[in-house]
Amino acid sequence: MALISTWFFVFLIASLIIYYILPIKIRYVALCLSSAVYMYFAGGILGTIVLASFVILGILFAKIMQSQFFSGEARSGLKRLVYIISMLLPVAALLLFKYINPFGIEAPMGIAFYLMTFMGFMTDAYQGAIREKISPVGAGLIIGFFPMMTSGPIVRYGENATNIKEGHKFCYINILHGIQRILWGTFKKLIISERCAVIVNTVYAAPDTFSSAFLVFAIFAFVLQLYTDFSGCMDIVVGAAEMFGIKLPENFDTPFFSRNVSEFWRRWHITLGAWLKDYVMYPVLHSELFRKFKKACKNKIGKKHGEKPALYLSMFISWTIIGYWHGGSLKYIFGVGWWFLAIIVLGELLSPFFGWIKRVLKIRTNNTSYHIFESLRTLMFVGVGLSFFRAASFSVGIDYWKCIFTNAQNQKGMLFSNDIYSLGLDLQDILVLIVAFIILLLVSIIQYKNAKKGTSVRGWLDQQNLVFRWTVYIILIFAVVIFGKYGQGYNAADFIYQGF
Amino acid sequence: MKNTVKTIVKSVSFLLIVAIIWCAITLWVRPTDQMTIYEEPDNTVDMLMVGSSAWYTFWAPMASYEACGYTSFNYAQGGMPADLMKYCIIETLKHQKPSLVCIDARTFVYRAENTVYITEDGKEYLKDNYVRTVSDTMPLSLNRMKMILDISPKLEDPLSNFADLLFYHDEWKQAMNKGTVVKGRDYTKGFDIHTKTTAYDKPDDMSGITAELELPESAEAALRDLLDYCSKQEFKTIFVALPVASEDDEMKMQYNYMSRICSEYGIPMIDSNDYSDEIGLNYETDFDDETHANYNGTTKFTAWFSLYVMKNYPLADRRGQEGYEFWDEDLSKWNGLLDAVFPDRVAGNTNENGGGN
Amino acid sequence: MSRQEILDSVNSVFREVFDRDEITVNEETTAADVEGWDSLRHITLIEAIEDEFDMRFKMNEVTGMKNVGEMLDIIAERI
Repeated sequence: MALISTWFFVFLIASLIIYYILPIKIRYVALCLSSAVYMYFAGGILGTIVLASFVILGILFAKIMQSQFFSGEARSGLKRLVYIISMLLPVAALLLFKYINPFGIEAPMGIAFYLMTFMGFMTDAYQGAIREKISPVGAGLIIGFFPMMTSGPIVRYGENATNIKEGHKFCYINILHGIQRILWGTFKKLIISERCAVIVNTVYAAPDTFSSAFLVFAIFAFVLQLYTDFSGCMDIVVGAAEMFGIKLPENFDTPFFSRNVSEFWRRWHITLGAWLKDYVMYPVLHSELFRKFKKACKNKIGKKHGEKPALYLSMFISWTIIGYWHGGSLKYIFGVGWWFLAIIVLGELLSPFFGWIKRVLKIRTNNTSYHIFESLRTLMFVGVGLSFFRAASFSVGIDYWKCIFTNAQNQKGMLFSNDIYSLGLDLQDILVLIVAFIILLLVSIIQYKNAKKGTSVRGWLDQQNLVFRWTVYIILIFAVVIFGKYGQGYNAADFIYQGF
Repeated sequence: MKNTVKTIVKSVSFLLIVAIIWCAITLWVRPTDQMTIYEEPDNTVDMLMVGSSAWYTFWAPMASYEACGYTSFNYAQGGMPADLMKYCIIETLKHQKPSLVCIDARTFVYRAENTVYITEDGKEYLKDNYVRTVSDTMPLSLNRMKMILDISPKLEDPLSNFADLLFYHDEWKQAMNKGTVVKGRDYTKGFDIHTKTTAYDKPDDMSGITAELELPESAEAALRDLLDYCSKQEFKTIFVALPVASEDDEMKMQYNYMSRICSEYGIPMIDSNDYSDEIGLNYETDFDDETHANYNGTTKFTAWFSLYVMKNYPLADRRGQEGYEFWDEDLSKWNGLLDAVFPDRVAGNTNENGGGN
Repeated sequence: MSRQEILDSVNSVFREVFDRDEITVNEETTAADVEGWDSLRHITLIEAIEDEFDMRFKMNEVTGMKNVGEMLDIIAERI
């Protein structure tokens, strides 16, 4: 049951009706029921069994670790053992289904995401980070709430359990905003992402036949495709949850306005980055082993720089895990891991040098033009990394870059040759893509500006007059219906990150 | 409370606006260059032919009008699904009052082979493209919605038929290019001239066969549904098995079966293949292919069936009548068409061999 | 140590970690109020505080503290 499909739409409405019919104290029953049904139809029997198992295990382990039995020092060793087991199980499941995959079957739906939530939950329970008594319903729902099964977001008990399990009053604004959000996500996915996909697929299928300009352009097209695909999916997920009055954490915050790659990863796939920071990087850095390492470094190379090796090492571990999480092959570990590490470290190491340049050339950094420069620079670095993400393998990725440098001879000036149509889209599709992109850009700028004030585009929209609002909705709805790439022959419903 | 009412009113109005725009865009985007009976002035068609391409090659309404003054129209599509004919009639009745409706019997006989398909798990569905030939040319009415609703168990993807904007939305590119198409009246009244000739051997005389062969269950169900509807209407109904170049005994036996079921509802059926001599059909010169006539065959069949109607059904002669002047306009366009297709013809005679009809 | 003394020591740690003498923190100060207090600096700060007071924060405290006031609470408990 893909997220963009009649069935999901019908299913969502049915779930909402059941939810709001039930008395407010037991509305969570509707969520549990819907999530079970959803996993059964969307994830099959395997998906249902695996999810149910981890929900039960999660509740069990968490309650055990939080219980009085382990409250004293005496049993801390035993408690640690329980914790280790509770962490090994999901790791084993991930290794089994995603990396080793002996049966050659598709991994159970959602495990790459909800097992992260699971492991974070186990860690929070072990460390006593959860102040209140853990509720089984809350635990079950943060692991298995159905909108999160496609591509997350990764959630935390402390932050999200109460909000998900407590019944919410029917509120027209929630429904309205949720629908708007879903519509916007569908717009991004079906109009922009699918068109970019055509370009990207055409070029990546035969890179040696395209000039360098096209090869580079295709990388940017892929970045746009991935962004609109993944963030569009998140819009639908968050919008759907919003209709229940549930506020799921955001995974995207206008990432392309980032000034550097570090910031980019605080704005792209936010919940994954936060998970890595809180559950990998900090514990690693804070460990005794690393403290000793840091002391040793400080003694050798001085206090100021002594921090850096430990920091970079912990980042190396984190980025390798990110790379691995995307998939065990080198293209991910390099493209979505070490490449970004390299850029971040390079940025850190060279920052005094760049600072000197900026002073000498009297470049001001606090203005829009510099910000645009930084955003474009960030985009370039991100593009390089993601070009490997898209390639079939690391070596294919390298070959692609070889083509970029060797095909320079075939330059024909992209804009002025008719070869623009060799990308696979006709003129009308290209126009639709350009217009949609401009709309996306404008909306993103409004979002970025409003983020500082804490308001949202929908809040701004609410304040406009009825005719304007309705015109916007109608244009959006019919844009998606008419220009969306769906229907016969399109499997647009599959999201890229769904495969993880 | 007041707020709730306001919200409901707002939501409903918004949905209505979306529905209206939806229909408008559907009409703009769906491929309907074909002209239909819906362009005819109200209450001017006295005889309605419903069915497949057999009607639109064998029966030339303008030829019949020219000779007898009968106003008729072919509501016919290639591969017309038998299940949908009832709805075509219902839709037509909103604007026309035919006294006679002539139904193409072969739609029930070719149904198993052409109209439906069976999936791997043994379910039978109507072929989508044939359904669309009907639904695309029908106005966006409640009857049309009811039609799709009724047949939705027989559709593999009913949503794309209900909301066919979802199916045709990609056509926006063509729609933008073709601009506004003004559909005029079809002066051929749903007829399509074929000029090719394929020679066939004259089939054996099947009129002596009285055995029956059952139709498949779903075909019979569709048949009874149509008969039930027609038997309750004011117009008279007749089922016609149009000529085929090679009627075989299996087909004949199915027609016999159909004929008996029709008679249960008091509706007659005639197999024109039994009358090939009377029609004067020449199997070597009159067929375009197995199931379609060329214009030679058309004139012969049209003449024969016009006489049949004259003897058995009191249809009005509309020539010279007030309100039917446009038929004369259309007649001259029709003759212009015949002149263009058959430059050597003598008016009123299009037989290639120069003889009379 | 009194609360004020703890706050003063914490303040000097901040000044050293961020290499700026003008920094003054109070109970309500959060990461948003101090420039450069990002996630990477945070762990450095935590460890500097731990060294200064010879105590350890628990892992969930490292990520869970909302402001300097909470930090002072934990320090006061542990020393």
